[in-house]
Amino acid sequence: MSKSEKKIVLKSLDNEAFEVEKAVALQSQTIWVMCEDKCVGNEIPLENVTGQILAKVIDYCKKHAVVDGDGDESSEELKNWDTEFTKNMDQSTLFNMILAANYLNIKSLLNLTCQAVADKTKTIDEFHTFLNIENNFTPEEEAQICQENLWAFDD
Amino acid sequence: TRREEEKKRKVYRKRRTQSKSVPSFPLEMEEQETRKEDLATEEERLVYRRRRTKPKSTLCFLPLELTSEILLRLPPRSVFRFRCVSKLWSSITTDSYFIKSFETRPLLQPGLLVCFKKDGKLFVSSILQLHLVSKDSSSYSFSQPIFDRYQMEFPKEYSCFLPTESVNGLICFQDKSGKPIVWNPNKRQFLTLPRLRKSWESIAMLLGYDPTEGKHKLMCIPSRRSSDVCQVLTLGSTQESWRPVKTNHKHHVCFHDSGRCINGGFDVKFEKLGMIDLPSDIHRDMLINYGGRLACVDKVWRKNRLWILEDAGKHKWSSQDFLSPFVHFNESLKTYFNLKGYTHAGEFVFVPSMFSKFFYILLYDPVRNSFRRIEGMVDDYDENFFNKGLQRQRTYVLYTFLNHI
Repeated sequence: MSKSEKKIVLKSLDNEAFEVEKAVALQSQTIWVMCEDKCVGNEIPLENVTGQILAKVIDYCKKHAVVDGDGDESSEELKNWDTEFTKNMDQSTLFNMILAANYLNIKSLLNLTCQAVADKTKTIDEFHTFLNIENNFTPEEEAQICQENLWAFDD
Repeated sequence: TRREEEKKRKVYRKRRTQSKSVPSFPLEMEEQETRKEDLATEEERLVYRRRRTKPKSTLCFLPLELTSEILLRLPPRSVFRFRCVSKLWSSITTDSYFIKSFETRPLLQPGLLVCFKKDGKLFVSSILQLHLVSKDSSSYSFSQPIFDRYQMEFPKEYSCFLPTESVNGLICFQDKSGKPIVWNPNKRQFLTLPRLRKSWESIAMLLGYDPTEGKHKLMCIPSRRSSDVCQVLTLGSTQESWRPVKTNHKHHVCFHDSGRCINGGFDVKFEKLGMIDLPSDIHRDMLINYGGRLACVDKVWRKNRLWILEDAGKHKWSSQDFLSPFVHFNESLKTYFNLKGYTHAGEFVFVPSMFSKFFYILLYDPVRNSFRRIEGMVDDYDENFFNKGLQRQRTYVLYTFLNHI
């Protein structure tokens, strides 16, 4: 295999191109299927992901890829890296990372980002704002359902 | 009336947010909107209402299955709490498929379950076992990411509480009359099992889990007498009943005891009781689960040797010495510590058997030869506040369950 075949170009929604090792990109099931089907050339358009998010996704994939002679990272180190990776992400980035991980079908990244949201979001109001969920309970309903789950509120 | 309703709800929300003392950001946003509403004409109000249902920020909605992915990763308490978030969430989290996957979700992290009884209640907290070691950690570090804490009624007739270990999420013990009780700490439930048909005076209980069938099995053997029969019950089977199982060996249990099944000892799937010879030069022994293998602790004062079962069929053991003794008195904490077991995260857990106000749990990392400690206390500050000085200091038994999922 020549050097160029080992590389692949990912193109974001806003037309930003990233050249990455194939081994890195193939962690995405979606990209893997695209390559298998040979329905694309060496350049893969990803219409649901912005360049800003894609760059982060690639960072993650690079860290987690088992490239020749580069797979000696201990699992603990990786875990620490993962923690750092999501630690400083703002909510909107996290949100888009979840969508991207889902679209690109990268299980471990989806797991990591969903867990990060679950860990970071502590109050109901945070969830309301983060996930744009409308509280559509009537006051009576809400009071009742909170009453039912009251034990979950006392600290 | 619509407006009144809105107002009522706002008051309710406000009360709730204040009592929880969360950042006031969402509240302010809503108040601003209210003011706008106050000025509004019928038309404007319509616009406002439409806006309310629209996303407040630029983010789009998360698909349902992703929302449920996030919910699945929350601690149980939060799931219940977030039922109040919206009708959608309430319906997701009460859906039987969700509940099933929540209960059987791949363990986030096995945790350390710590509890004590007080005034007819059981106080339970689960603590993350996994310890992300920072590079500059000193020999003692203080970290206790408690991810769940609750209390539950503890019926009087259960008072004799000698529980088994936590085996795949369940814990067993006997009530006063010897009836087996299953405790599911995650569901906060006690379940009474049928009484043993055989009238053994006292029994020892062992809990096991068969991963191929996904079933728990409870095994009972008579204690303080010899026997070659045990009774086995499969939990969650269509008719939960005790089956006598003949054992190849006569066994004799000295104490009223509870434990867990480990491969080599009792084969949970095939319901066979094996016999393993102990290493010959062992003194006082205690068996622990050492990363899925049976290990035997030389529990002599200041001795630190662990015997690990290599091959049950050949009775082959290997031994390993550790720097920390398995029973010791900690000068600074003024507490006796006993080895409780070994976590999946690779630490030995030392616990005191009793405590009065504060308790300490030590976790020893044999690789780094360092301790860290977890501390907790009886949360009874205001209760009997005035009598406190007169009261004798109460002591509590500390129960700990390792690798609870």
